Amino acid sequence: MSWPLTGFGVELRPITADKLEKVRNWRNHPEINQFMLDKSYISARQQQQWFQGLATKAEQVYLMIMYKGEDIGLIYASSEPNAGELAPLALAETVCPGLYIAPECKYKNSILAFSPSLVFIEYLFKQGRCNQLKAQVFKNNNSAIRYNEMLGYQQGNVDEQGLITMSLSLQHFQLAKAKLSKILRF
Amino acid sequence: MTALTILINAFENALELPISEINDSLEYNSHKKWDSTAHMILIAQLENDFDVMFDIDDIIDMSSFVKAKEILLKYDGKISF
Repeated sequence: MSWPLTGFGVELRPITADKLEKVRNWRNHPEINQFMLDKSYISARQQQQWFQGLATKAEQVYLMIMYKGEDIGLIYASSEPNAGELAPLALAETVCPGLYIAPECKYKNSILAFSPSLVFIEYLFKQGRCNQLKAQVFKNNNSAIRYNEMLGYQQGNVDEQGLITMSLSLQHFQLAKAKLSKILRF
Repeated sequence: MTALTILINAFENALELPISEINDSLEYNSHKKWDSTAHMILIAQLENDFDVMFDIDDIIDMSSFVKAKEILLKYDGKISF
């Protein structure tokens, strides 16, 4: 794959070492952390270790979201665990994406937040065998549920932790993308 | 119906807010109900109600009730708020 992924006004580029602290600060921010499954504080050392491991992990991808040259958030995906194993992203039939817009970013609650997902989801469905995306969202995170539904996700079961599993097919995504494209006229 | 009433109604519908909360101090990142989905719905409603098609920079820039009025005035000099 050649980077960056581009479209709808944004660029998605692999994270570089010089941006690790920025990403760590975002990830540890209460606004972001509150909706993460793993809410533990991430130290600089843990962040470095994670970054060093990233280069060898074919089952994950993490990309910086850039708009007009500014880093505005992070988007990522991992293959769905199958019997405790993670297949390389390109071989996974189900992929689990996520994103966050930087806590202090002026675009956080703007329509622009749809742009990275439109670009990235298209990529995920094209890059390999992926035929379904899955997202887990806390049932009290109304903004994320509404956001995912705008992208075509369908709500599924709620587990004992209060997590809703939402799934997205290529067909539903394409219908949603056509609607969103009418407003996101880049 | 005045332009201001149409604008207030659009915000009321898109953000699901009571009219009493729709005033010049309303802006995103300061109100929980103003999220990216509400912003999307708001833009679609304003384009429909005012029969305009915003430039993408104006869409992204529409970050408050006051800003919405300023941007709409750019597209239709005949209206007033």
